Amino acid sequence: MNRIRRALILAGTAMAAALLLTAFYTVGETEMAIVTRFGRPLPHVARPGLHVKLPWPVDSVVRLDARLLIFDGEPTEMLTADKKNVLIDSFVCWRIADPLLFAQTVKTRAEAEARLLDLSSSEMGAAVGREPMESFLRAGGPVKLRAVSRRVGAAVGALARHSFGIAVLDLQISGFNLPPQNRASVIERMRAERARIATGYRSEGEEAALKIQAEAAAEREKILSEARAQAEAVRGQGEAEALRTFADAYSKDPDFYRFLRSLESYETILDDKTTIFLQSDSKLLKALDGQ
Amino acid sequence: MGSDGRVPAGEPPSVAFIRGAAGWLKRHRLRVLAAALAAGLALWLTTGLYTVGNGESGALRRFGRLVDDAIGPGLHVSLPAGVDEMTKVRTGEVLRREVAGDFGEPLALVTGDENLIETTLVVQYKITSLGPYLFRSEDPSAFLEQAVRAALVDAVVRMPVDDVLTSGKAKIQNEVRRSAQAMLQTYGTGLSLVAVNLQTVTPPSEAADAFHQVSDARAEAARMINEAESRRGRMVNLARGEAAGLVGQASSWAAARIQKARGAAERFERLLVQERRTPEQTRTDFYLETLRKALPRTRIIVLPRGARPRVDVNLMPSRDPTP
Repeated sequence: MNRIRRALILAGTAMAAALLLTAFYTVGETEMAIVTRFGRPLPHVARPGLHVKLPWPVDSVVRLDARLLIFDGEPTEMLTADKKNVLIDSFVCWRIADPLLFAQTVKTRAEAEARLLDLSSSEMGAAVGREPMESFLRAGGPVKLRAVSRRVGAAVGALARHSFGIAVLDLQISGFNLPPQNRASVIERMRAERARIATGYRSEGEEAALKIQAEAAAEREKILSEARAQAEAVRGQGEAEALRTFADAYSKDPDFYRFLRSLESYETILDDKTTIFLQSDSKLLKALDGQ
Repeated sequence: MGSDGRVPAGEPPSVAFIRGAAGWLKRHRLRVLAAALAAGLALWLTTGLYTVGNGESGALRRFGRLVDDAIGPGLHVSLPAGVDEMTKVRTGEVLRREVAGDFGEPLALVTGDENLIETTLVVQYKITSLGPYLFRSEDPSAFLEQAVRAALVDAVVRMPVDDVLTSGKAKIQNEVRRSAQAMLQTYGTGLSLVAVNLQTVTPPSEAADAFHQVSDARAEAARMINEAESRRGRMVNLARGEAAGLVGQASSWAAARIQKARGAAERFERLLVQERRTPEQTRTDFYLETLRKALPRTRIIVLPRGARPRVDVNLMPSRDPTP
């Protein structure tokens, strides 16, 4: 039975070669692996590359995702310290930190995310409940959104690491909103506020316009009064020059001037309401007589 | 195994096949070796040679482990498939992603003064580090989106709605870019942000008309102020004109006054010349001329000599002009 023996040897060698091949395994760049010996995990965690283990069926490989994973929960309604409802959406960046613990406790990603959701929503609810609304919403002021999410992230991280072998790298609030049932009242308040602001703009405009108007009137008055003063000065100068001209001329013979002025005065004084009493021997009558 | 290769009777067909194949391999040993070499060479040539194009980068993995993530353009040699694996990515170009709500609707946000706004934004980013981009995180662009959303929320809750809608846009964009970039750095996504653009920022549609009314009111206020300014301009110009008129009138009055004075002075000087020449004659002439003009208008009552009039009238100048 020489031939049968040869065939058996051939088959045995092929089988041995196949088994030997199961002693090699590769771990991808995005993976990490643990080896279980008859189902019991070995402590070594394999990083990417080619590795050796005992052949099947002694050792088998469990591969886990080594990448940073993101878990985006649903927006959750929470209550602030001053009893206001807010809708908070957050996400968690996490990765498997302890593959053995992870494989023992949660095994799958879906399971892990369910635990993360439980942890983060309860921690977040507690953290938000300790802060008043103005810790989250304040125009121009310091807000604590980051501080709260950092605190929640640290708390969730400590628990998840300890219980499930999960490392939480970051937890952030990616949505901060008011619940839909509050929307109508918020919109109403916004409209009222806008109406007030619009009225404010109008009245400010009116006020500014009136102020400009008043300034204009004052400016006009100033210009005119300056002009009046200048006109007076010009008149005065003219008057003075006129008087000086008179004076220069009349100073050459003040007596003759007085004579002429008197005559002019008579001319104006003597009108049809004037009665003159003359004595019969007055010089005037004599002059009229031509004597 | 028989050296003649003959098939003994009564063997199962599988054994007969193996025996036949072994016999064939033995007979064509050289040819088989050559064929195997040729096949290996062909495998290497087809899977062990690769080119990286312009604008691309390559990452090479050997037995799954990353050995090089910055392979530049050109022809490269690696070990054949099964050992080495090559991934090529266009890293030169700037990528774009719209960040919106879960159903593509605009993102709803609350401002620092508890106003609701809606916004859509577009981020531009590029792959700066291929290894982390490919292998470090599950979905780099999901990280990008979440980081941008978190940064946006953080920026908007500090601002009043008026700033968010108008002057604060640039500030929000910068803030989001800076802070989302820092998060991406921490996560090691291999991405970096190039730009964050707020495409639209609007109040919710139910309140849009109220916001328009505010801008109308602002425009109206500006119009009122402009009109007042132009009235002021007109008023001041008119006043200047009036002022120039007043001064002008005064100067012409003054000029007339001076002219008149000069005329009178000249007349006096001429008369004076005459008077110097014939003093008595001139004065008497003037005197009589005046009486001639003035007396006809008056009533004259002649009193007898020595009678006392009831009214004293002294018509004569203090100095008697007549001899």
